[in-house]
Amino acid sequence: MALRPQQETSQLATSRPDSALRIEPDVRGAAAGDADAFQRLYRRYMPRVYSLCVRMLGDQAESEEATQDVFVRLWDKLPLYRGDSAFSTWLHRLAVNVVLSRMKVRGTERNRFAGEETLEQVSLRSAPAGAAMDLEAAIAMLPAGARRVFVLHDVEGYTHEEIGDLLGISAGGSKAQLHRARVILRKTLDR
Amino acid sequence: MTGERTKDCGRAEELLADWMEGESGPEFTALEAHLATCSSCSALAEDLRRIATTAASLPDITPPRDLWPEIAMRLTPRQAGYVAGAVLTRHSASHPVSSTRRFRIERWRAPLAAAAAVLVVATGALLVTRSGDNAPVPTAAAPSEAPAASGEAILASSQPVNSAQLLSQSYAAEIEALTTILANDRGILDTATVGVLRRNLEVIDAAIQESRQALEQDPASELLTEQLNVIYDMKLEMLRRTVILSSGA
Repeated sequence: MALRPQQETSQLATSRPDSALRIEPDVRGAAAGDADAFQRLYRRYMPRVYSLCVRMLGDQAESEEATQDVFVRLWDKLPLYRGDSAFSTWLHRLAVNVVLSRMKVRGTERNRFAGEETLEQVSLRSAPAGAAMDLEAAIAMLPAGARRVFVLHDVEGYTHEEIGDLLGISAGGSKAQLHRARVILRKTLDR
Repeated sequence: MTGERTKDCGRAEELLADWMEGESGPEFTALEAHLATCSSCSALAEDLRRIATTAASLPDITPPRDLWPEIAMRLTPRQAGYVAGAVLTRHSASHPVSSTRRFRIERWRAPLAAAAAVLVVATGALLVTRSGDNAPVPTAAAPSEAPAASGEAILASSQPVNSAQLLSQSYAAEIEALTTILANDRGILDTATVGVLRRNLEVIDAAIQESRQALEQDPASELLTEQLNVIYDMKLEMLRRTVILSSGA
């Protein structure tokens, strides 16, 4: 399952209670400059980070770059991690910020209003005729605005209030985008 | 149960999103009654719920190639004597803040507070501008400037490095990208808005400059390192929000 911050926190509460006094050894080691410890963290958390990147960005090459950026940024910021929240949650927030910045940069470079495509425009976008569309492929075809809300809410488990803070929109706006995304996905999957 | 659309179907579709969020009330009771009799709307509700459920259980995806070698090449070595563990535990009861450290905290709290105040004002005003970065932000080190050895070799290096410079480099690319976006948006913004945001960014940049100078004088200070990091985060957050908000300008 993809990283879901709220669930992650509760799951870790029994198996790995992150706190200032009980930070996992690899986090502490990597923060102190231990490359082996950092590589172990990378191996453990990379699939979750990459999954977030590829679903939010919808592009493999860019997702690989974004994943690299996340871990380079993680290395730089690890000494500042205090254990106030679960490490996985902290890392996830870092990853989301990196991805959102990339989406914004890319969106502006290519089309400032790419996230405002209409349902009709999306429906007209071609998909391989007769090809079986799975949910992953359908997510990748969502307009950027709807996709980022859908991934953050339905895949990653963020609340509308948290998404609002991240994206600079209202909770109501997040709800509307989520519903729009689900309706588009249904339409895409039904083809 | 009927599959023909009725006048209630439109209203039902409007309510579905909130109903799926768990909201309740008389209108949602009516919605549930409608779903019990309308196969079209009940199928829509079922499909939307299935999409949400499936999305929540999607498996992790693994990239087709190993990204670690490229990541390792980009990592900069920790500064000698930079003991991160001290940061990790400094809030614990066993590590009380010394009078000397408290003095440092008070001494360097001013630029942080100024930057924070600016962030609140700037984001609260929903304004858009271009960064007037008076303190030049070093560009990220080009690959050719990095040591050609393996990532592990880089990490093992014990050569002293400049904490302030490392932090600047780690933020430079993202700040540059965001300021480029804002520069492109500048033409559609009113002059007063641009002026206010520019002044706010100048305050943040001044705080960055002040913190950098302090860190250069005391490069082993995790407190100063964290402060500089926080101010950079503030600048990034302000730029990021401004870019997002500018999309709707």
